[in-house]
Amino acid sequence: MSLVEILVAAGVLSLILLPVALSFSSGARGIQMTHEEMTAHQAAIELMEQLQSLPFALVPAGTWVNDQIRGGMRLVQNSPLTFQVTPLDGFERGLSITELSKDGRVRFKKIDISVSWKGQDGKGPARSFRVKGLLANETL
Amino acid sequence: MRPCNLATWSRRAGITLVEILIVVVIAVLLIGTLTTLFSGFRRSFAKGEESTVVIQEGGFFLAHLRNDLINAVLPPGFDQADWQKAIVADADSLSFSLYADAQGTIETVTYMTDGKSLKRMVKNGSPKPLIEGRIASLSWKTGWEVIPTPGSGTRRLWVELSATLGGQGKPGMTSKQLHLRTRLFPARLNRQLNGNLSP
Repeated sequence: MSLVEILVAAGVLSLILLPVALSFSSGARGIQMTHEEMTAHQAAIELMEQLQSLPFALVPAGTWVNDQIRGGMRLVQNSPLTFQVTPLDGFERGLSITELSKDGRVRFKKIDISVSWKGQDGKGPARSFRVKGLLANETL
Repeated sequence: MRPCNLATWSRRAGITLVEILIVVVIAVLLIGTLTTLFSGFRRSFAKGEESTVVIQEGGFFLAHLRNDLINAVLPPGFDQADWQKAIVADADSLSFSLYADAQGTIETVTYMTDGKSLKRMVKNGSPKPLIEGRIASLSWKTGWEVIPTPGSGTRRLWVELSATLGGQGKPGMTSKQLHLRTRLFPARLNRQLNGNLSP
């Protein structure tokens, strides 16, 4: 067996092992993605639930961006309502509430929450998660 | 047949000591590389497997707690003046009342932790494990506010959860840590506290 033959064998073995090694790194990436998605999901549900916990009349219509959604920050100027959200580095929340009326009365409020982030600890592509819900006017 | 000369025979193709040594060195290098690679694979696999279990258990726990809090209600005869105590959070337990079935049976659910594991118990039943030995840290407390609105104000109650799961295991095989930090709002209970739902 010559040195060349040994080197060729080693090269072939490396080529065979390379996909195996890559599959492990993709597995680790998948776990990281699941972790991030779970965090984004929690952030969105946290915001949704606190709005659903309020009386219908108190939930204001409008659009909010991440800088306006901070723990203790008022939803609307001169309103006593504040956001109760957990600070999250690297994740950005967005909120939109629209009123759905019929016969001149607001029947529902549509809550649209988005959470966006850059995957793989800020090094990967931008990703986002969205959750929508309807709040019914139970006083009608 | 040509007679074999000893001098000729000794010069025929053979293996020298240097060649053997080179082959041994290359073989050792190959075996060393493969062993390192395989032990690395094994470690990555174990770590990935453990991390997945941690994520699953964390998700399972949160889903249970969230679902229970959605169904949380004031127990019969509860004094509304003590509304902040509708959810009781201690260092090692979290308990509240909830609708346990479609008939409206109200039962107490308790989440218990010993610092490493977490169990859920309904009424006086047997505790069911949700997380087994994977808690690195866990704390929960209730938060509340009274929003100054016309009348007696609007009450809002929530559970603030902070937990870290995973990270345990042999050196080099520790799982990725999962941090759970969120606030959970019992929507039904809050609406009940504000008179939007009958007790």
